[in-house]
Amino acid sequence: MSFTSWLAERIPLVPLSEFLRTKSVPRHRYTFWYFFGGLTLLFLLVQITTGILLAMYYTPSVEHAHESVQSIVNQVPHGWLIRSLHAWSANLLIGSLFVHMFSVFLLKAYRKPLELLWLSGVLLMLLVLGFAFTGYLLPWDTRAYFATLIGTEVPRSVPVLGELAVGILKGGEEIGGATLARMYAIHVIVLPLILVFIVSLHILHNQFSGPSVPIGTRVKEGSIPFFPNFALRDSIAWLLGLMVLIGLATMLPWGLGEKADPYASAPLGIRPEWFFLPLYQTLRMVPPAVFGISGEMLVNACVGLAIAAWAAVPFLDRRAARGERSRVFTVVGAMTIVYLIGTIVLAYLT
Amino acid sequence: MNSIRTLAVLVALTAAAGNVWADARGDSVAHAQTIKREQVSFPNGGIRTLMLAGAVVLLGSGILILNGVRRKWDKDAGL
Repeated sequence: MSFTSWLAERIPLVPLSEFLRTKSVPRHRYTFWYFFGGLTLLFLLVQITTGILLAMYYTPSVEHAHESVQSIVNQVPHGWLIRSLHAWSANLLIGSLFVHMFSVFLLKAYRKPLELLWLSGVLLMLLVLGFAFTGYLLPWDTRAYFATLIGTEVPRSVPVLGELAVGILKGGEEIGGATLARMYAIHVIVLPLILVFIVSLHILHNQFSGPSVPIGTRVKEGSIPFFPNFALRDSIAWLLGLMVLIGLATMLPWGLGEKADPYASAPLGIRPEWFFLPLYQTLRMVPPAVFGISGEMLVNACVGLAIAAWAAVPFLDRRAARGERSRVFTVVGAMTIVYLIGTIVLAYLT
Repeated sequence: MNSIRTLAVLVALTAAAGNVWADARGDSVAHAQTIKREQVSFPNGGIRTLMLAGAVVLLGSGILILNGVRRKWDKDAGL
């Protein structure tokens, strides 16, 4: 008895192989954008692999965190490369995730019957940003310390839940050992557990429902069989993605600042990573008080509403749900992209 | 043959660009074995360029092989 038939007696492999044999990807002028979902998954897998390796040497305590990162880079064989791959793939992950999300938005791929796919995608975006925020403090250098100090204060102005959120994140009045331990626990246990569950649902949903074809797009004859033809294209995109990642990690290895000193004053010109700059720049642009309301609270409320509206787009865009073009949502998507890029550029320039 | 030539050109360009980049940052092969930046040190730019060129050879070969296989399968599928 061959291994395949032995396995087939225990696990229903026939429906799976039948599914892979019949699954196909439509061919049209926007097929290229399908690759960014796969690339996001690739960078996520790199994050998990390199993260596990880093966790073997990292010590989550105020006394030893910075020294353990120094030791990873200076003494552990290829430790500098693993840490660089982790840091750069985090940036590329967020970059490809945003490209994927906006391409889905502009192609209206959120419309019926893919509402849940869109919702899980928005949740994944928030989770990935959560990973970035909690991972940032772990090296315990000056920049990480002060960026976290500012970042953890942002939710404070939210009524009722703000104080609670700050308390949970910081574990006390100051950024210290409790904060570092909490960020580490959230980064390596809480978020990965939720992420694996939602990513699995996202991928399964996508596999069973298949890709969406943009409204009004002419589909070419002869769709691409998913296996092996599209899987081969995906693999080539993965190898190209890996090449870019290795290029960045080797030629621009990730540095480490001075050990954080809570008694020192914040260095000049400190600002968060590029993906948090839109929020940071918006907070800078809004005056401290608007019509008697705290500017920070106003920004928090607007960001909360914007995220809720973003998640609810499949239910708001009724025209797309009926298979009709919806220019209003295209304009909203384009304006959001312009705003995000504009605020990032402004934050760097000012 | 064309694919091998493309790969060779790609590797040469990568190595050249990497070395120019490393030189500009003052950490080429001619400099110390490791470079110190802030609190950490890395292998020098020359070694890192070699690592990158090695990755380009490996991944580039993978891309060429997969692309060859893809073209055959596409032809078989009538694409």
